Amino acid sequence: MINRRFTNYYITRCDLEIENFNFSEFEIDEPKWIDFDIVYDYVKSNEVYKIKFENENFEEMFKKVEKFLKSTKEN
Amino acid sequence: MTLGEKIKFLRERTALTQEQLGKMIGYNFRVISKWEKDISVPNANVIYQLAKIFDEPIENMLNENFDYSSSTSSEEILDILQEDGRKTGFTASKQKIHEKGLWHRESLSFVCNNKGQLLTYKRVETTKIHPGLVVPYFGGHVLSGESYEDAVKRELEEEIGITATSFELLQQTKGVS
Repeated sequence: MINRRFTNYYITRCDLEIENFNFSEFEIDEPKWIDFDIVYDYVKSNEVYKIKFENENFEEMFKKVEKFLKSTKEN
Repeated sequence: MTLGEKIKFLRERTALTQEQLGKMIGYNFRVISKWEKDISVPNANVIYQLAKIFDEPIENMLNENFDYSSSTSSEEILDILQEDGRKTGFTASKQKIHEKGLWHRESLSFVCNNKGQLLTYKRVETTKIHPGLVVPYFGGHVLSGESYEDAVKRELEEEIGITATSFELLQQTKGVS
């Protein structure tokens, strides 16, 4: 099965603690806040994501995510 | 199929977010979310209003043996795109689009906090595709007639129960996998 898609990637900020979200139990398991560096390393080293991002500009997008995070991070 | 499942199914078929539907009938999106999860039940007057909005016989909504997911109208309908991203003017079910490898739209959003962290989750073990995979974004397919922003807003409401009021567009990609 081939998945041909146009994808818009967005980012939004929400400072709630995990217990204050209302997660869909049908789709979401073990929700967590994780530091950007850990997420980046996980995605970069995971075969599923390698396939997904093969035709997409992975590095450029994650640089933008990092920039957004730095701009909103509290010192 | 429970009443909550029917409300969720019909709302998505009508391409409404929980917030949009809530405004139409005078309820907060959190109430809609509770109905859809069968945590609470709308009163008879509201069910009547919902049937009108969804253009569905009220009998189908109240009959617990009636299952939209087994009817032909149950599938998510997506726009079929040309290779350059323009709409073809045709639609198809999500299943058919994937089977045939047709171009379509999806909309995803990272969610961050003020500590430099990203919101992540594991895909539930019961899902067919990549169970247990840690995912750092939320979202899904853009339904026919829906904008990318409306789709990601709807998906966030459904998946994490928040209504995001602003998004920053990071990237528009064209991918094959």
